[in-house]
Amino acid sequence: MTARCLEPERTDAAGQVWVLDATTAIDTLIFSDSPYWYGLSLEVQQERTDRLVRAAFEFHLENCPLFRAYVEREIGLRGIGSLEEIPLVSTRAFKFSEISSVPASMIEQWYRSSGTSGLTSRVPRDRRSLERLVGSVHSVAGLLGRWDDDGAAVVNLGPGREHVDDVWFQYVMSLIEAIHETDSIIPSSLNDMERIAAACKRRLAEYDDLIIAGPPFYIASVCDFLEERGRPVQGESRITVLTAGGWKRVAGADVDRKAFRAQVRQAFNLTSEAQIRDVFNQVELNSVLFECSVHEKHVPPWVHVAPRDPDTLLPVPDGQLGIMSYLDASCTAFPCFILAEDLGTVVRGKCACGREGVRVDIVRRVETRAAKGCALTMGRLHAARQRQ
Amino acid sequence: MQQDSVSSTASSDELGRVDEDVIETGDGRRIVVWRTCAVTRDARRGTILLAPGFCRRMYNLATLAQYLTFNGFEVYRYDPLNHLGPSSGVLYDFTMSSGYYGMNAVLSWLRGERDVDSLGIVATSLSARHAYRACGERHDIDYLLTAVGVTHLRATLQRVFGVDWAACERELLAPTVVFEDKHVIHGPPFWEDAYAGDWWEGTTTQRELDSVDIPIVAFAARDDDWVQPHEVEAALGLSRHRERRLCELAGSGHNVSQNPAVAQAMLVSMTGEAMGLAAGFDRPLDVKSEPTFTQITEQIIKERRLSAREGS
Repeated sequence: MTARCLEPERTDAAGQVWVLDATTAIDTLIFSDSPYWYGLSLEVQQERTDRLVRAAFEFHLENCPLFRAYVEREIGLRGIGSLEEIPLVSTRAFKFSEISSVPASMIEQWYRSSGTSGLTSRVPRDRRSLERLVGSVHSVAGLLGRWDDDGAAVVNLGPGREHVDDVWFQYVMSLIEAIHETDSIIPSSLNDMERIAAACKRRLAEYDDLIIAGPPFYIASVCDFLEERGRPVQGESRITVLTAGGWKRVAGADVDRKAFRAQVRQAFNLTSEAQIRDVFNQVELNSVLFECSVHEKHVPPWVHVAPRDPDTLLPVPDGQLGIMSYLDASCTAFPCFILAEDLGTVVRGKCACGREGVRVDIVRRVETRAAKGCALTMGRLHAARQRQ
Repeated sequence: MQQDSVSSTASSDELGRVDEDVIETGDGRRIVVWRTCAVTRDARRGTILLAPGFCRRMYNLATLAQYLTFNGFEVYRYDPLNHLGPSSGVLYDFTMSSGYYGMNAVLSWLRGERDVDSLGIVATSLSARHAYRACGERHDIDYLLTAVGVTHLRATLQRVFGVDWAACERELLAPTVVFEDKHVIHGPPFWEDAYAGDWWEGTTTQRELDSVDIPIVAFAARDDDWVQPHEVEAALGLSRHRERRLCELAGSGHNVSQNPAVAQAMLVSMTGEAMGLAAGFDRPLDVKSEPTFTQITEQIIKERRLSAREGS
């Protein structure tokens, strides 16, 4: 593990007083609560985005030989004009190559995607990237509610910390126990459902607030169970339900999110559908995108998001559907400049929740042969070039 | 600075194991103590007592304890009397003197029952005020490190609560004071004790520290709304005490852990300072190993679970 070597700036002749400065612009933004990033104007957010992503691009050019070679082939080392010129790494590339910007000794672990179809991605994380991931979660707490660490408990519909290995989604969900008292239960049997309902009731009695987190298909299963039992959990305004992960497996097709929220609200006896929020993340992305109270996913200013035209890979206008791309400056472990396999849109400006900023709507996975082929080809090309 | 991981030199059983002790005070109260052992095969560096900030629990010091144990220290933590955790009493009855009494009881137990050799204190926030007094009144502490440590109680509480509490008339005091929107303290007894025990003023701390001859290293945060670096510097009396030092943390408020990069820098620096002080040097030593993110989160989760089981 490499720590920052901080040369003290001695401020007095006797050497008795010195200043330790470990701050960086991005950490100050991620971890600040005065104001939180979503309290900044759109203009200021975009200025920060530009500065932070450029700095991250320079960092990975210097520290990731694979990425440097890739950039040199794609655009040369002349530097970039706009952020959109940064060559994107297809998420497919992580299925074929080990891409890293830090020495092996600094990698905490290689994480993999859940792998519902075919090869899984393998993506490294170092301490700084993981801390910023947690920071990205903590800093959006205000989008959800002001939970006190000791005042809220969590029921995590997934494996507990000791049963999590390298599957990214499960790992991220398990980190929540470092912040809040957590019951982790996988709802795979009737007995598990009983335990989940009991945990919800017990934690509501012990804590001010309860967070129930899990993939939509698990949440839906629990809702079905609660309905069968006459809705015994009285969530009212004290439960927040966080969904994360794939939506398709709820019913094998696109899920009507409004109908899902109505179902969850009823099953848990919630006061409002604003208590049901979805979050987005994937193993190749280092930041978590949270919904606000009107169900818009806000993008923090250390991430640049642009949907791309499948043929040209050029950014499409705001509001238009494209293949999602992310330039995430919070990641030091690998060049997190990725072309994903989701179709989505971006809007910017003032949200109905009152905050300014950039929001995304992840509409669905890439399905057309042309669009999927684009990502697939990029991934293979990248991998093949890296092997050269 | 390339550093080693400790995982190769310690068994998983040893790593982060927490042993609990209970100290029975002379007046029948109990103080719950946690001990974590050094996990390196380096020469042991002695014992450090970690004193928690006000309304902070023992597991809130998990990472600091890890840094110290990874670098050869045996570390003890305790839950103060009349506090949030499993020790006797409730927070409502907390006073400065009850906090001081508890710290003294633990220090005496460490010297008497545990027969520790080298003994240092790392005290955070309000408990630093107790530690400053302890260093003046006791002669069995070898060195002191503080983090965002309170030196001028009156000024700090004025910033926290927005009123000069010490200046209030006894008859006009509110019966209760609420800290951080949820922790309720019985106001008048705290106020009376602060006068009776001479806890309020920064000049008292300065006077008490003037007679102290052990080395002290203080860490203060430049953007701290509650404890300002100039107050700490004044209390330390640096010009009169060349063995004392002050580190100012740039970009941090009172909650140093909010920015992990700042927290990590402080933990490395503080550990190095402790290593130097324990060895009798007037300079820090290089920190040999740091816990990984995974080790830190696993330890926090383990201690949270332990704390929950004990109702602490």
